[in-house]
Amino acid sequence: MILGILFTASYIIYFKPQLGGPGLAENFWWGISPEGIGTLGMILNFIVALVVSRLTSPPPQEVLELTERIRTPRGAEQVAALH
Amino acid sequence: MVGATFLIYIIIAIVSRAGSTKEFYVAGGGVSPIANGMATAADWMSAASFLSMTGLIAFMGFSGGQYLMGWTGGYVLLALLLAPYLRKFGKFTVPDFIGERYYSKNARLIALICALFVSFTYVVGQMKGVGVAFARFLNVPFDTGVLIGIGIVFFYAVLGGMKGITYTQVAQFCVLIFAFTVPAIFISLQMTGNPIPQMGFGSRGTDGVFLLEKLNQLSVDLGFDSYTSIDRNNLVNMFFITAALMFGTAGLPHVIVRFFTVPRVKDARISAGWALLFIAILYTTAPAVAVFARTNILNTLSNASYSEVPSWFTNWESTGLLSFEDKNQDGKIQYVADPIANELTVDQDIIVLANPEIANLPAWVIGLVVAGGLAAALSTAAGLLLVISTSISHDLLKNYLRPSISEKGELNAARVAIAVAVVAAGLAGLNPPGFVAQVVALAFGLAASSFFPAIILGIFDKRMNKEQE
Repeated sequence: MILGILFTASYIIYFKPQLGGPGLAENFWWGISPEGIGTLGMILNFIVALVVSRLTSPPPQEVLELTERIRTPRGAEQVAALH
Repeated sequence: MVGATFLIYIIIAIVSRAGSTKEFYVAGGGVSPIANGMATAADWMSAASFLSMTGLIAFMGFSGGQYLMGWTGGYVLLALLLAPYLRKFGKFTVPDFIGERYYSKNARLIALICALFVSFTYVVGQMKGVGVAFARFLNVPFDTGVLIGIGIVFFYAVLGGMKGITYTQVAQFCVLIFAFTVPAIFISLQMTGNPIPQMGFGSRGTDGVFLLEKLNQLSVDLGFDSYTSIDRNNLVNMFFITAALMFGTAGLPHVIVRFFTVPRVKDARISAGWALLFIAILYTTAPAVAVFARTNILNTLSNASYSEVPSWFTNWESTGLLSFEDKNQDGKIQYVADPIANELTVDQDIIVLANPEIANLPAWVIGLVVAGGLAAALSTAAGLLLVISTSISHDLLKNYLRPSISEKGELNAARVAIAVAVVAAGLAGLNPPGFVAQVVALAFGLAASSFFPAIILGIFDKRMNKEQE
């Protein structure tokens, strides 16, 4: 989250003259305007989150169960038991 | 017309004002799905959708469609992919979800700061919209319009909380959708003979020429790009803006919280469906209004004598949002693409409001559109201000700074937070970093880059841990 929002906010401020940014439109990265840079910030956020989570310890058991629970529809266990 | 709609909002806000913190934040969780669908649509269709998006499409042509596609796609993503899971998780706010899912108070704090940052940027855009509408309604300069808007937003957002806001937003939805479609039907009939704007803008005009063909020719004659042409050099940027709006919508805190105001998960899904239907009415009409407005502006103003301009032109001139500089001293308006020769500056955010005036529609229709613009801006601003107040009073005060705070103290802190936020956003709205839709797009970009990955991974990746914050 921190990386994504800091990256996006910095780009917006740098390239928005109304916010005092010195950046010029001809220097946009790959032609991406401040209105669209959130997509790149989001991709960076996804990459960093996935890499960091795989290199560090997994979440506690109760969080694993919580994540499972919100994705499982009500009554799924009863249906599974019937088969 | 405008005064009557305001009176209705204020009465609703007073009658249904919050009596407890649960009513303040999620309307007690007892709103019906169809009412919640209307409130969600009003909450989601801000001044950016009502006032600004049409203006951007009118001036950008095909490229302006990125706003329409991004926001619509984002809503579907939010309604189908995220809302039911968040509702099932059972937390009032996004920081609550992040804090619980990532089992970390630091994660919650970071989410809270992001929510404040995103919501504030979004409110700044709304305050510009409020300023534009009030400026025209009261014939005052834009700055004065924003200051009046601060007072109005402050009044009913502070008074109502989520319970008041929900029912006010139902009324606002009715006003804004009526205000957007009625003038569009009138103008479509006037220009094409077809009462359905969505079909009218693709059909022949009264002169037998297809309207879009005529607009393309008018645009090219004045040096602008053909209205329907695709700027291939801008396709990457268009894709990134569309995606930012789409994923940003899905991470927007003020819309997500709407799915907590209905009693059951099933109701959350039903209300999302209703909201999509209500949103589609405005979003399918917007491209038609853009074509009508652009054609009318080029026809009416290009090479017109300044001494004979219609009254709507001078009315908007007095707000400072439309200006003419007679560079070649010929007394005529040169409205062309070349910035050196061009003599007319139009703030794109005025297009929807000015359109009925340009088309010579009756005064009541013009008043209706102003009321609709204000409804769109105020309803979203109120929802966002609620997120800001919730973040400060519930997440910051209750969870971090003063856990022993009473329910009454929390409610008061929420109201003070709204007051401070609305004044700050209003002052920032006096000099916003772009047109309303562009400012709002910045807020969506911030939401996409911060909340969206955290929410998606939090739901769909069990292995995701708190270190990713």
